[in-house]
Amino acid sequence: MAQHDAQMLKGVLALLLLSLLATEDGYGYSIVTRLKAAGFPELAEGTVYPALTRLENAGHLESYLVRSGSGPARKYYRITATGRQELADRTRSWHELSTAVATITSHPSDTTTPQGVSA
Amino acid sequence: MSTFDTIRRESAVQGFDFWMDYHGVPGRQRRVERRELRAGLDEAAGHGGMRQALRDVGSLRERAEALAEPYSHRPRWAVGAFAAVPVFAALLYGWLFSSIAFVEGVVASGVTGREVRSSDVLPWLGTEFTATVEPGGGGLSVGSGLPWALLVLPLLVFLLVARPWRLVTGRGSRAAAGAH
Repeated sequence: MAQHDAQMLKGVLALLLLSLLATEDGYGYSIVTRLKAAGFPELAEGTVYPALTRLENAGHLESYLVRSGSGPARKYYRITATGRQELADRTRSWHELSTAVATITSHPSDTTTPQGVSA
Repeated sequence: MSTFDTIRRESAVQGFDFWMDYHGVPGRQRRVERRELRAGLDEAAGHGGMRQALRDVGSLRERAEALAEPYSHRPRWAVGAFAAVPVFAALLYGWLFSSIAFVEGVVASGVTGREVRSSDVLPWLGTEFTATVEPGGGGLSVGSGLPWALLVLPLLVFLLVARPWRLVTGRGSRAAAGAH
């Protein structure tokens, strides 16, 4: 599987996390596993955990502890009402951006250099 | 899990706790985050080993900084203590060294039968040492005033670094931020 550009990933990480948690609550490592399974193998805990924390600090996520029979209680994240609004905004921005990028990149042969210019 | 893996994991957890404490994350949340890190590392180690899990977990300092963002207005007691302890240790060393040098000086001077005060020859941040050598060198008594500087200077450093006034100013700025 091709590696994604790190800077591009950083830009859409919040959108990915909000989208995942809009469908199902999860704890840090389970979210990393779901992202990897969805086609983002380069996303490790070191990237995902601070992003989750920042989304929680911004009020887009909230956390709660769930006791586990086999181990310690895990910290689960769920999306908040403002998080859903943020997800809608980010999704709209993403579609606008991808449409604009597609408009340019779908006709690469049109982007030729001007002819007849001499030094 | 092997003993070495447990040591590696606990070393990472303690380092993480240090950075959380350093950045002002309160104790109750630190306990939750330590437990979460431990559980996450154990689960990741089950798939690729503890070394890989520790590599994937990335910068724990950055994670601690993210956790501390809501607490940027809290006093930093731990940082204050880290700054004050070396100051106290340096002053204590200086005070002990000064007192020993003073007593050695009095003995070497050969003055006997009267009390010698340090304020004339060795003023040391307001503390006065006294020494009396009995005639014939039969006895030596030594005394000292209370070394206030030993307590006041480290306390001053502690307060300046910990910034306890953030308890008041932080509450005010949070209230103002909440009103907007």
